Amino acid sequence: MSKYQNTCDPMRLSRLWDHELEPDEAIRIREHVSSCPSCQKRYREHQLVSNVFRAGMDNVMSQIRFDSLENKIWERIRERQAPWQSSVRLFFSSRKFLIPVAAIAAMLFVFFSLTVRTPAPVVGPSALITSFTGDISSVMFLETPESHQTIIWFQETF
Amino acid sequence: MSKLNTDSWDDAKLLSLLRQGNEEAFRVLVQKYQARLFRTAYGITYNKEESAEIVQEVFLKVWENLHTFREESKLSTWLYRITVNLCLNWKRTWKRRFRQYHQPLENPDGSEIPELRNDEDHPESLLQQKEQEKMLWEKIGLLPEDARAILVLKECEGLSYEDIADLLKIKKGTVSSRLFYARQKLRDLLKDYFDEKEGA
Repeated sequence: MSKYQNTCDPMRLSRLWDHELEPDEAIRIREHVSSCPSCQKRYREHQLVSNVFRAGMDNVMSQIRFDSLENKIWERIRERQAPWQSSVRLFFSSRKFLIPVAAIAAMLFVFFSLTVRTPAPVVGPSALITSFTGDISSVMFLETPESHQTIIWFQETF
Repeated sequence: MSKLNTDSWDDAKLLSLLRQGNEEAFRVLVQKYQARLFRTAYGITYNKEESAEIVQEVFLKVWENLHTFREESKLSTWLYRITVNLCLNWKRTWKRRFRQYHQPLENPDGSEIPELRNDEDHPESLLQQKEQEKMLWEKIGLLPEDARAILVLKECEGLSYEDIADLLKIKKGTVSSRLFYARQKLRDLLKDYFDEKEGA
């Protein structure tokens, strides 16, 4: 008489279901199951769960478009094959690039608007003197401090 | 993409050509394994979109890291290993777990829970059967992901304990006990259903 024959052994029953017992051990467990309602019930439970799991999985699989999945795999491989272009594209399209650029532009604008002063507008001469015709008693040459315009001041004698 | 005859490509030939950077060999690899890897991923994540992303990631990793594969295990085992590891470490795992525990009455990806039969039987009994199957499917979804991983590898992929042990880098005895634990847990979750079924 085998030591397994009259003993319920759920662990071995699980291995029997998985076809993972040695042939002689499988025969002994089968003999036990054939005369044990409790093990028969457990074995039927394994069967039911297995059937539901497989059938559910088959149903899900039938809904999947593997052609499209294969195309996606190739798309991603092509992207990886051209790492330079894709990384540049990714860099420019990402927020990592846009946010710092916007921040730097804003800072530069503020900096230049505060520090760079616009030069004073150049004012044209008030009069052009082409020649002197009379007698001049005195002449003064002046220059404006910022725009460096020359002023000629003179006094005519009549 | 055109369908290739993947049957004529054994893994050794495939691997040799893949190492030479042969694109057709890679297409064969994708067509040969994408469904299996998707099924494994779906068995763990219970989410179609995530599973599709994971499968894409697996093949990208293979494309980039083929030179690191040392043939200490079968090619298929290596692929399953990457898939399972990605599923268990996926960045949105916390989200998935949140959905799993807070929306147990529908599939996590919002889709219908799969209908498992055609409307050939009596409508009333069929409806009842569908309800029961939905309930069973949901209960399987309540198992921890690592338990579901081992269950899907055995039940759906039909891998041996030895292959699963190699894949998960655990002992064969641990595979056996984890499967037993997963079934025991399911049995507890479905106790009322099983008792009712036996009593009927």
